[in-house]
Amino acid sequence: MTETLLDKAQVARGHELLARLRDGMASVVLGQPQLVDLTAIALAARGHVLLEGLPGLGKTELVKALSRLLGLSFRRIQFTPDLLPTDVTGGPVLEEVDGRRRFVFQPGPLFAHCVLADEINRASPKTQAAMLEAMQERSVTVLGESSPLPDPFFVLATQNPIELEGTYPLPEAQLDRFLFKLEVPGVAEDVLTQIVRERRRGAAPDVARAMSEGELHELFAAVDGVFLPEAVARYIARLVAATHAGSPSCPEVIRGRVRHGASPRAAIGIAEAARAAALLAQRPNVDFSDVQAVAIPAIAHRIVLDHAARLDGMTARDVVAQLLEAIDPMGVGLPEGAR
Amino acid sequence: MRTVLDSTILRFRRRVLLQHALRSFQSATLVLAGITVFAVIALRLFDVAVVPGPLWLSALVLPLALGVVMAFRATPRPAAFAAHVDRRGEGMGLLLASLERDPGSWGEDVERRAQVADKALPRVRGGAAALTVFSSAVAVGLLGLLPEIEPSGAPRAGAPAIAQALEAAREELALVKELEILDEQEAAALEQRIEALDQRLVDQEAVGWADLDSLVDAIREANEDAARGHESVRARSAELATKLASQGADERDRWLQQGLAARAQDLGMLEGLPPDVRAALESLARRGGAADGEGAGAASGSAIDPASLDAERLRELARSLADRGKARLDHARQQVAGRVDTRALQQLLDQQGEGLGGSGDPMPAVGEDWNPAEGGSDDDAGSGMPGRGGVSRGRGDATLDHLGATEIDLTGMRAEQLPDGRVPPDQWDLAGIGRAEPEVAPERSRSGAPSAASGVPGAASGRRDLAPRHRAAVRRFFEGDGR
Repeated sequence: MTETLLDKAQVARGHELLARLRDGMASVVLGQPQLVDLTAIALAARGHVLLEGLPGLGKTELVKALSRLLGLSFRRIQFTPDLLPTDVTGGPVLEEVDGRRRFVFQPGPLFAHCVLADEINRASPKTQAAMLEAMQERSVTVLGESSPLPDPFFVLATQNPIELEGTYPLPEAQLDRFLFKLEVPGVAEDVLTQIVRERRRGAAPDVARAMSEGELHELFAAVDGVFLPEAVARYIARLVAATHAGSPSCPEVIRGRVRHGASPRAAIGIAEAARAAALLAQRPNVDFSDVQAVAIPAIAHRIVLDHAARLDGMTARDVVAQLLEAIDPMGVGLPEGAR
Repeated sequence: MRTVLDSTILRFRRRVLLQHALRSFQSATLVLAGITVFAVIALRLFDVAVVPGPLWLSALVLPLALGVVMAFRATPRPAAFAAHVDRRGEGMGLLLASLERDPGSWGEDVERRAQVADKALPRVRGGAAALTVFSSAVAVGLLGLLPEIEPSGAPRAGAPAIAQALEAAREELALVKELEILDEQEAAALEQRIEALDQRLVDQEAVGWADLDSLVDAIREANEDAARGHESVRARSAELATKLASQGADERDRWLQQGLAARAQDLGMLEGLPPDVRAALESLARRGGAADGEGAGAASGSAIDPASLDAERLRELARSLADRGKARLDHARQQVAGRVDTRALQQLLDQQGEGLGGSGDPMPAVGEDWNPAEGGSDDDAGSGMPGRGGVSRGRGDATLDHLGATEIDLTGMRAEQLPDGRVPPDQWDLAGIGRAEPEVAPERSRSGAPSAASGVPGAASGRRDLAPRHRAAVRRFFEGDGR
């Protein structure tokens, strides 16, 4: 045991930074604690987030508040059907320098720390595909020349579950790039009352910058330092493997309802998100409960349901919830007398 | 240095091991006791008494060994134990992580939570196992209280009855022996067995009913065979007596004499016989022929002089018949082995008569088996026709002719080219001109679309290729509010 767990001071510091971020977002988006927690976790894990909800629920406000809290560069891209890939990534522009004409790469709106891809499902698949490389490799290649994106780089996309005419549902490969897909629920009456009383003309409250760029990297280092025990890693592997109908560990309730299971990228994402969740819970290590907390938003959008599940009225979130109930975190049970 | 957490995990692992072992031991003991009780009761049905003893407890080694093996197979790995201890101590993964990494500043927390987990460790519950073992031992022990039976081979209270039955068997064997139903060897063997059993009874050794039963069965079987044979002889005798009783004494004699003479004449053996025997036989044959012509009542009196047919002459007659039969058989063998010498055969026939030329079964030579090579007459062999058979050997070795295949007459057929499958352009009908892609089987392609005529929501979807178990769901979907 040469390596040591994060000491208490490191955990406390990481938790404080993360809590600062979370509290800042919570002051803007009222009555959505789980949404705020998961968004903070995703950012700490350096993952991209897809927010899905009805108009007016504060999705865009949440992303804007996040950019202000982080003090990073922020761009907003409104996705429309006529948006072209070069509108997102940027492209070569002919310039005359010292009497010589040459192509100069003009960065697009993607070159920012925090990118809000609003209504991403309204863009054509070609434009959506332009995001693939940026989200995974964090670089953009135009005319064979790759340009790195700024670090850190977050994509927070929103999409509307209604008004689906003229939209292009995100393909599986695109969905797999998002660490979380978060559903933004409606708010309760008392929260709505508070919103009505506090917000004038819809203006969100001013939020101060919560952390510097150095502190953000300090937060990332703290998340990376959270230890993932082997038993928990095995639990994550069992969870992801069980989403495949052909896997022997797939529970009967899932088998026949899932056509395609989650990818190894999902397992990596769950581990990273569970580390951030553990830090948010002030722990130097990941626990089974951390995995369970992030499993649904991390897996649900990566599995493809069979039509049998749809006819049974089941959603992907229901399937993952059943999976969590069916898979024993311990892996091996104890005899009856020793439980 | 072992920490509190290590000790806790070790203790927990031991308890789980013991619990697994006890459960397996309990189950195996129960099964073993059940098998033992069943086996003992089953053996008693076959007169084998088995009484449980203290040594039987050594059989508990089997479930014990099974319990140990199963315990080590089913017990989780240390990492899993750490996870269980972590949960019991509410370590939130800290105990789990500290097994793999140095807890550092979390050491105190780890120790405190390990102590909590140690107190929460489960106790080994051996009561059920002990109760099972005890009840199994009692069940097996109760077998000793079963009423004693005479085990196989042991002297029993019914020994006088066995002696009585043995005496009855001896009397029955004497009767069978007297009637000569059994041959001497079998009878002697049975007598020996009876004597051996008798001696064992005298020596007060174990004699079981099974020993006696096999002896009695052997005697009874011999008796039954004899009874069946006796019945058969009696039936045949009665049949012959009835037949003879229907004819007069003279006719019976004539019937016997004619049979003998006609057979001798048929065989062509009269020439080689001593003159007196030949004369007697010819007289018999003549009398037989006269009797055939004149009727049954014409012949009377003795046809043969008893003085000329003493034992010595009859023996000569038999020897002569055998020699002639053997000569014919040798000749037939020569014919089969080599080329047929028809002239020699004709000479033999002239000398010895037609003999086998008659229809039906030829009489085999005395002391010889019939040979199929002898079956055909000389005419048959010469003409190459198959030999004739008889009632006792089928239709003979007839040849099989293959007639060849029937030829097809192709002169009435002719080749003709069929017309092209496409409709010639001059027979086309113009239905209309449009820009839409033509549809193949339009009725079928439109079957999935909603039909205004159907009027039932979801009817079109119901007609699609859906699994039967989904049709109700699809119908509900379209009939409801669409959610």
